Amino acid sequence: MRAGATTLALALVVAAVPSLAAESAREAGSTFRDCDDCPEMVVIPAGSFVMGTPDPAPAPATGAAAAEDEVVVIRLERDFALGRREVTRAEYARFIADSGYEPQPGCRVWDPALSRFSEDGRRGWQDLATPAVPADELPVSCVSIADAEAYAQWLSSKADAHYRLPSEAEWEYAARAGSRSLRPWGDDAESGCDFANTYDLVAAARYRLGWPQAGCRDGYADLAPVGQFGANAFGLYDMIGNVREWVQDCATGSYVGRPRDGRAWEWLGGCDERVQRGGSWITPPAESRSANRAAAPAAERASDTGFRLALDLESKQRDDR
Amino acid sequence: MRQALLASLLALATPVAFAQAAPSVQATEPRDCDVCPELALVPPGQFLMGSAPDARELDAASGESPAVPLSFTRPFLMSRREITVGEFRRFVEATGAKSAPGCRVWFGGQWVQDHDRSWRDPGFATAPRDDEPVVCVSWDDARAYAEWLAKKSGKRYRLPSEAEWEYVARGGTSFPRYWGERDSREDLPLSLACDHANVYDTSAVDAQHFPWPNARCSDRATALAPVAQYKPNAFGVHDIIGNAREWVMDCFTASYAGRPQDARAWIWQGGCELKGVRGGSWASRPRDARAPARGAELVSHRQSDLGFRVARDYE
Repeated sequence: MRAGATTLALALVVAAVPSLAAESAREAGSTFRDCDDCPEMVVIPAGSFVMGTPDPAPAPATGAAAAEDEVVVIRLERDFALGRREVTRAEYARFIADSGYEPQPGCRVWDPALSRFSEDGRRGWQDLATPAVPADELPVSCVSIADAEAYAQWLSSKADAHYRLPSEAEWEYAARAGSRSLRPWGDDAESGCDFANTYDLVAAARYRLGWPQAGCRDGYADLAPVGQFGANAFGLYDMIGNVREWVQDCATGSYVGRPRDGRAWEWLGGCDERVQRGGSWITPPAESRSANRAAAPAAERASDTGFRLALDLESKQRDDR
Repeated sequence: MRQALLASLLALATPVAFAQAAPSVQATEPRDCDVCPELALVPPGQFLMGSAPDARELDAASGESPAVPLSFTRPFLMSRREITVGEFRRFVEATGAKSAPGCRVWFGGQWVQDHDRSWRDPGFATAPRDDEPVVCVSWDDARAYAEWLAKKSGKRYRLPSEAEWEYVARGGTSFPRYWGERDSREDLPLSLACDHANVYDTSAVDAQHFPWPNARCSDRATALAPVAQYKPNAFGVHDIIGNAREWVMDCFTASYAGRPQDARAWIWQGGCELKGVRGGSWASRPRDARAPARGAELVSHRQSDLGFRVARDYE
């Protein structure tokens, strides 16, 4: 009883000193924004996890995806922050307006005439040709790696902090949020409609993409506003589904020998193909899992590819890696 | 003179599909310094790095397949021989370089770490001769040696890239062994390897008793052989298959997907623990003594069948 009272008293003291509380708020699980318009960030605790899927089914056939069964233990040495949601069109629009950045036009979009995705030189992040819904809270898509990096650079200068794409290891660790199951909500592919906007009955009814859909209804035929589905244990939304998310790592066919810490795996001299994680609203349920990996040319813009940003919490004294 | 030679090499290297240049030149460059190794000038060209998915001796786990077409636009130089004990000793004496003691040696039917072994005494029946390849050297030791040569000569000495290594090992052919043996099936009664390479062969069986197949011929060496005892390939390079395994510059990845499509080494930002090792050794079964065969060791690894050779840019 007495101990309880002491705790309460301490809590009151902390609450009464808001500046102190703000300074020490970057503890695991807390959220913050570096500026009013900055994306909300979640502090992800340091820790270890098992990256990959021991025996993925269906087993991806080729390329970077096929390396999912190379299971490694990754140890993230320090806390970092990750965007709670995918970067939205409204957030991206502020960047475009403020910085004057001009992305290359063109995007891989759904072509209703051909009933398939194809490159369209007139489309771009503002105009995906997919049905118009109030667009501000949709995740931005049709962005290349360079576009995402430009956004990160702009945000970094605005917030005086080092925003960047997450590494693949950070991404999977955050997506799993402590879970060892195939998906943050468990192993079952078919019960994802409360947690993720993947290829479901609603999407299949409109798009008929010809691959399996989840036998449930997530309420969205294609992109969904961010943060509409259940968060994972770290409080992150849409890690699985909605848009595929760029990560920093280069893509190859095997990850044997990769760093065992949170660093991205990049080549000296850069790389043509980068990794994307999490799948999108068109990803079949079986592949919508925490460890599933996709690769795309770094310059590719697709209507179902976006990103979220990470942030080093000790950004002022970052070592040069 | 040099320009004329370069021009003739460039002309010679005009690619013929991926069968590419079959150089008949064995150009030996003047030594860059008194302790510098003799170098072979390797012409540019194109080749297919790796193996077809249906290659009989394919080691799928090593990432040698799918193969990747590479194009080299510049000639480069590679030491004609593996760096020898004598050469390495001069480096150690000149620089005072010290390496941690210990080396992995074959003992009692397995590879064991022996703290009393080193490049000075890799634990063979007789003390190492100065003209044998130096072994029990880590990747860091090898790189330090190349950097010392660079300092002595003012030329950009370095370890070969994995791509350069395989290009040279193929000796201008598209075969996994430059002497034309496409498929040294391990049940074949005869092998052509022993004229060209010191591998695990009939002369080593009684001494080593390795629990893996040997080449069915005799190269007269039970373990390491002095460098350049066997026939060179068309680039004038000796022992690139067999004798000592050789460190390359690259980080090891068990896939070629995403690698540079030219002669550059593939290196990770922030470095890597696992480096490429190539060529097989006196202890290698036929399957591992092939140009496309790939291996990897930790950067600090030392073993009594692992040495190196050096390369440098053509300047």
